Amino acid sequence: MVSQSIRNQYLADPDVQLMLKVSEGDNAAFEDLVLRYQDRLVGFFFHIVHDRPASEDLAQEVFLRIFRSRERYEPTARFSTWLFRIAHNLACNHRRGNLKRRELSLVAGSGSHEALPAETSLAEKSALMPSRQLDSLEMRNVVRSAIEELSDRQKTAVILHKFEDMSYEEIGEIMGLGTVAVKSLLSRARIRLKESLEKFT
Amino acid sequence: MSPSETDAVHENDDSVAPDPRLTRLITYLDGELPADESEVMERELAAEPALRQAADSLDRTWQMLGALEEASASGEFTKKTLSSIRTISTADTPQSLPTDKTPSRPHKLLAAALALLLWTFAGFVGSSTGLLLARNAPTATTQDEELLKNLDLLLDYQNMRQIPDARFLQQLAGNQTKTETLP
Repeated sequence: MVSQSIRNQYLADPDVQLMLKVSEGDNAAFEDLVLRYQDRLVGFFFHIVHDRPASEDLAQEVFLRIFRSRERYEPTARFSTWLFRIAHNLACNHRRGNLKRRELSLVAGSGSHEALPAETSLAEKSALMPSRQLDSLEMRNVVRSAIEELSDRQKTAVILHKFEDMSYEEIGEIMGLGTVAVKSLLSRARIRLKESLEKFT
Repeated sequence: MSPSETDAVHENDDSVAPDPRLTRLITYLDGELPADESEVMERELAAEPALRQAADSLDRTWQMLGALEEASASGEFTKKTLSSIRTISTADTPQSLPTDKTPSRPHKLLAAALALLLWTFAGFVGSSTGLLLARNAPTATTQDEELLKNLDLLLDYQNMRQIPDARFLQQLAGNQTKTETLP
């Protein structure tokens, strides 16, 4: 049972109020939550998996998990924190699943496992001539390659900070890290991004 | 390098502490530095061109992330998601309509508990009554049957004790018959 003081802390969150209504059986409130968060969730997953159908499947799974746990819902965090915590866990599981599939394909001897050969080649070309103006597609690919060089945790922290505008504290709550660890993670990520991208600025 | 080896390199990278000064600068750029430390950082930036250049580079490369392709939910997403929800909702509460308010879980649990209590009590009362009736019901034994057959004899036992033997009874019965037939 959650203490009243913890519960009260988050009652001001309008999305928490909606979720409490869902827990009482109000499915219209759940529709409101889906409409509020669907774009953010799909966007979050797209930055990680780069596949639109997979992003929507993962986003839908987040909503299903939230709905399934409606009857035992207790507001112990902001609603967005809880939602993205589930999303982060799903993203980790998805990556682990992909890693296993890639390792199996290596064992099976299916040959090269380079994930983005076209984009890498483009990034390499751009690196040879950094002073030329990159068009938007090339820039996108260069930036994507730089992001892919980050660790999974760095990438998640960057996505949550850059695209969800989350604070270090919120990112820490979602990823199960302290604020100092988040600061360190983002610092390393941004230094790596600077090293990869500054020649293109 | 295999995928797991690549991730292992990244994980090791995560454990290496970055340059503390750059970390402080990045924290400042993120707006996460406390006010007093921010003032110190601003003075350092004003005094050091190299630090300003690093800040500028960090900021520009960070802004480049805006070039990444964004995605949003398709037109069908909301409908598909809510359909899945309705399947779960129907499975949980078969009588409920998707948009109606259903009784809350505590109320349902309380109703179920009360119903169970009533049935248990009814069962207890019924079985106790049955047991009681069964215990008190008369049961005919062989011994009881014999006693019932000789009930008249038993009721007159005190008088019967005076009779010496059966022959006397037969004589008595014979004399009685004669007396009855006399005019």
